[in-house]
Amino acid sequence: MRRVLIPVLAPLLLLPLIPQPAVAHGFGQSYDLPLPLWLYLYGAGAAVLASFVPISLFAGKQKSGEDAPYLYPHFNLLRVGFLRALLTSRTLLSGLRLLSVGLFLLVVVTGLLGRQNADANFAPTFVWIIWWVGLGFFTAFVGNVWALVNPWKVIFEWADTLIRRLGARNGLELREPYPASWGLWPAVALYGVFVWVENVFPGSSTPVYMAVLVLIYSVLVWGGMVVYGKETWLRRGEVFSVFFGLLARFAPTEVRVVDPTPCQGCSDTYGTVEKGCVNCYERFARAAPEDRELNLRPPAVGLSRPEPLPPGGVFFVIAVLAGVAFDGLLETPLWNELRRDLSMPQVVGLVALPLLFFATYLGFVKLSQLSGGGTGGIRRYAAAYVYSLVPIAVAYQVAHYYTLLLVQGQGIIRHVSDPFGRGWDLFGTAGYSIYPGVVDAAFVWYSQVALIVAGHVVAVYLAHLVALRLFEDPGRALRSQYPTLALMILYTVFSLWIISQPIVVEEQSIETAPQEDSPQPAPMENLREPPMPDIP
Amino acid sequence: MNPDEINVEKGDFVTLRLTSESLVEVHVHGYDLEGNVSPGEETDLSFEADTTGRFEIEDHETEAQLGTLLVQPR
Repeated sequence: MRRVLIPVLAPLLLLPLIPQPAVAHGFGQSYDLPLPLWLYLYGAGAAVLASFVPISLFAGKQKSGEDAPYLYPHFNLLRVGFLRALLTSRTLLSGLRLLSVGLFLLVVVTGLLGRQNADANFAPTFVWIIWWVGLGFFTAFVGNVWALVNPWKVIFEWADTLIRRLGARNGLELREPYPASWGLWPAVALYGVFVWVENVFPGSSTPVYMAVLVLIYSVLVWGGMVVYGKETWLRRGEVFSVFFGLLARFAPTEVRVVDPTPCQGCSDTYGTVEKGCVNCYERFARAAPEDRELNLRPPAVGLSRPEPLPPGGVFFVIAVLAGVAFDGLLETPLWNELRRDLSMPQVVGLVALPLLFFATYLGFVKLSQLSGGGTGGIRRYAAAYVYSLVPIAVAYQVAHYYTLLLVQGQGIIRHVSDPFGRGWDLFGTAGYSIYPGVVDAAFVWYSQVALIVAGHVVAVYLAHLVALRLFEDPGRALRSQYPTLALMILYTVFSLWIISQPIVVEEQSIETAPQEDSPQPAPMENLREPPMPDIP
Repeated sequence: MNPDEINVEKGDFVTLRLTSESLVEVHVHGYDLEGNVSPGEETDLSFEADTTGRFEIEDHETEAQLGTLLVQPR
């Protein structure tokens, strides 16, 4: 064992060097070490080389025709007796919904009444780590459970049922016609606000602010549901339903209604074919039991469908691609220098990044259209390719966050026993301390690179399927692929680059939200370089 | 903190010999180590670097970050 003695001059006489820990991504510090340079270079090289694997293996071997994107192997889990009993169990479903509503209320109540310290309160760990990161992973790798347990939806349904029983025949919904031109723009705007809260808002992990934000959003969701109807708002304005719905396209499970008659009206978001509709949750809920399928399918096939997108649909996906990268980008030295040089507030970057992504995307799509000899406007091509980039974002999100979930997520064990931070010990776990060594740094590095390269290969494969459908002729499809391939390499290498950068802790002493247990640090002007320590 | 970044390798037995010109409660995240440092005194924080990662070192009272401990894999 090597013994190291390090003399450290602990704090400065006047003030600490950096006044406040980073508050990026809502709450919770990752202990990840940045990817070493050599591994970053290997990863980038591997992504470029691996790009040609799907193309050379699958070139020109695709089935064509209207139904082609739905002709993937799938297996109906409801055909297995015990799975059918389990998955269609009313008790299980009601239990999950009750749990979800209970957790929702707990977040609000602990936020309002609990101790105002992010480490002691249930709300920050639950919302930012378990729900936002954890449920995102679950949705992408298992399936869309949010569509079942969304507490806003469940509470609205309860209220609606109650009011009908009390005699109001039409329930709570006014069902005003939703303006078609709005499309997904409400969800885009709300996603922007959410990313701002997550990454920029200094009070993102202050429990009381979180509770207030949840309440404000609740008013908005229920307002939208009352005015435009529950189903319309869930598809257009409830940003988390739209977000998890996007991730669910990557998932290895789907719900399918076999009888096509109830599928009308789902076409713009979920796709309709003669054989029924996939992931059209409201139709699924209404369909006759014998028409329902809960299918296991190859992952990511839900991202290769040539569906028409509502207005704002392409931009929403691009905004998600940018939003996912934003948190990591904020901590890179380059971004911080850029911000300092341009004296740019964080919020400018928040708006500029998706616009930059969008312009880049359209540029490469145009090139692809030109080199494939495609006719017509760019709109059709932009809509066709946009989902194919999602696997890279999913892979990056997992690479970036999985250690946070495994390490800081352990905090929830402590918080369930003492959700308010008042010294309770309901289940005897209040004293649990986080074990940081779940995964070794070297394993983290290799798995991060492997994940991102794998996501890249899936993305290239999906783009290839899309190209074959758009251009029909395999030769033209192949030529159209080089620009999209370049775009994907760019996005993949950008993702790898972010995780290879040393982490800069953001300096923000003035904007910091008040925390009960931490007095405000003094302003930056007083900083001095420390004198050299006396080395013994 | 000086140095503001402490780089060690996994398996090292590390002793941080802390000195300070003011009273401070040094807290190393992840390892959850704490040391009270008084002016004019040396305080040793010893630990085996058995977990890789990047850990913040903060002043426990103000939660201000003093520096970073980096434990690299071997």
